[in-house]
Amino acid sequence: MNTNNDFNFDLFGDYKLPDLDSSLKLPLCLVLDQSGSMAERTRSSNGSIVKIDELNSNVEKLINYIKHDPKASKICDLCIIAFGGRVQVVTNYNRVDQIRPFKLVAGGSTPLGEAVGLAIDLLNKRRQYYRDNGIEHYKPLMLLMSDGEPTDRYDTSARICSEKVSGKELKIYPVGIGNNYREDILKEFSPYVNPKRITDMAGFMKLFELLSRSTSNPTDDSIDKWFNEDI
Amino acid sequence: MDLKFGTNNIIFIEESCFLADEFNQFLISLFKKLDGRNLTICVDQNIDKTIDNYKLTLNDRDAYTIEGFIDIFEHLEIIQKIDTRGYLDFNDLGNIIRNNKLLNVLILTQKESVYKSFKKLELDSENLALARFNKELIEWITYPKVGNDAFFIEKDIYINKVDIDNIDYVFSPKYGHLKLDKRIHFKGGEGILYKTYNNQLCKLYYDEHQTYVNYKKIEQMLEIDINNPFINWPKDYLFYKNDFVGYLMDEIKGASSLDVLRINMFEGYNIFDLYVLSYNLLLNIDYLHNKNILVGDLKLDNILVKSPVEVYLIDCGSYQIKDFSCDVCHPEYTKKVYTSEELKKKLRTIEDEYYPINKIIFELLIGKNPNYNRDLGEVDIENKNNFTFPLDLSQIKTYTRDLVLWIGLSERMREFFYYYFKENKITYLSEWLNELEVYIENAKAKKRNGER
Repeated sequence: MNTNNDFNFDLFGDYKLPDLDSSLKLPLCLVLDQSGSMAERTRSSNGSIVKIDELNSNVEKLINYIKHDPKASKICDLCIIAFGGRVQVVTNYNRVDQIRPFKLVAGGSTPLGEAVGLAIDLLNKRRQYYRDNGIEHYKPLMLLMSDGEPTDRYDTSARICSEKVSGKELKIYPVGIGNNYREDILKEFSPYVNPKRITDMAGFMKLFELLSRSTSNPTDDSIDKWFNEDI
Repeated sequence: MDLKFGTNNIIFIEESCFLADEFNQFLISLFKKLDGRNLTICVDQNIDKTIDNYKLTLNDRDAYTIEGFIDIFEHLEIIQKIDTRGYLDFNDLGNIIRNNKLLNVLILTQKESVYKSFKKLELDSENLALARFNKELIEWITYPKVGNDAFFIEKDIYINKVDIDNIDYVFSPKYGHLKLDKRIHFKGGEGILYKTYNNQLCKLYYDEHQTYVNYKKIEQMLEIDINNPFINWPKDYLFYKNDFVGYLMDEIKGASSLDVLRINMFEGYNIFDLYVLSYNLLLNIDYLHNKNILVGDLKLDNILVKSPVEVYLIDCGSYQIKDFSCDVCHPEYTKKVYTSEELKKKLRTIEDEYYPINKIIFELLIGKNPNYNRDLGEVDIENKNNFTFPLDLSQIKTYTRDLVLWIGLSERMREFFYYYFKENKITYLSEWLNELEVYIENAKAKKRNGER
């Protein structure tokens, strides 16, 4: 033992911190569109899909992946916010085994600005919790998916979100579903990564497969490469 | 090597020189050459502690050899002890040299790390020489730090690609036909692992890794004698219908990945266990380095642990041997992030391996990533010199768990980490192992005496 200080700690004592399941976290927030238009089909050369069904199915697969991966299940802190008519916190930051089954139901307008604003508020609170408890975390990830034009004022949320990304406090992956989303508006939330368009089952699968991989290996850059592929 | 002597002379001797063969004869002849001119022998301030540590670890011969030299210098009243922060910071000696341009200085060290630390001072003196001792003085020379070229071929026409998803058997020249248990598999970056008979695992490469280079690499590996049960070395090639698909290795049962242990906060291990685990991990890496083998893709997931004294290195097929590179790289475990294409053509240097070594040992002993930003709470992998743990312990105002563990390290260990992460100064494995061994022996002794 070091003799240059008189600090006494128990070398043979328990290492574990009380009330914490892991000392390392990956905060992941899904901000998902469940507006009325998500109930519609979108068509591509690979056939057609009902957007909300495809979204539900892939979110479920993501949760199952995280649940069964020994690392992702411990480190991933998942938050899901859905917007359709109103903004709904499906689950605040939580371990996936604590999340109860749910299904997104399409309906109503597209309050995207309010949803992102809430997502940032919840993220700020979560980061404060990490700091207060000495938990280290990887850079937070946010997946923002929408199939249409926002129906609320989104500019403040877009600016704050963009600042967070520029300040390296957040990584955002904007995704446009189908053919009617507003690429220019999604871009306002994401200064570095251009929105990715997905129109078919394969696109959904690829996106959620790469996101799953990031939950068990947060420094894997496959998802970033995929977003940059078409540029 | 010719030495110049003036009226006033300083020789700094790093402790391992005293243990070199014929060093005493060299000193006798040197004293004769000096012929009454002023001489000061400088040694590290903590040399007495080093001697005690040698005694503690039962290296009596080395302890008494060094002690003998120090006694003579003290008797002759020519010794000066200098703070070098465990051979990592030579500013004190540098200032003496800078302030006396007429001084003739010889720095004697067997360790490249000491030579490099000293070179970083950029002392502009004609009367300064740096040398090591091997029955005579040999001048240290700086070689350009460029990795050598790896064995690489642009177009691989020698290997037929096999779709590994659709095969049930493989052939091993040593063990015959092996059935793959396809119910359980583990996917990795280069291929898939399947269980087979007799507690063995088959690693089958994905298309892009079924290459002539990998075939030749496994061939070289099978010729190397690895007598260390904790290194899960390839046992044989694997073929499917005469086409190379991978290699065979033992399955390590009942072990946990160090990555999973880390995120579970090393549940079931106390702090002392983690020191013992670190020591055993470094012993295995040192074993490989002594055979000129680099792990390359050294990361927590490639280390399995059964107990603090049973620490296994796995996924050895990717290791760098001879001129076969390790073309895998994890951005979190590499100081400089290389692309896979770069890594196929260039060999890593041993210095490259010290980033993951320091990072892993730090995470074991402190429980945090060395790039952990205490203010933001974030692991900042884009800024790998952002190390916030202080050498000056009086700067610590709040005793968080990680800082308590930092204080609990020996002073030299704190210096090893600090100087590596802040200034890129490497402490080589031999010194790390020595320091950990002393720490562990001291802790055991304290426990026997009922102290905490």
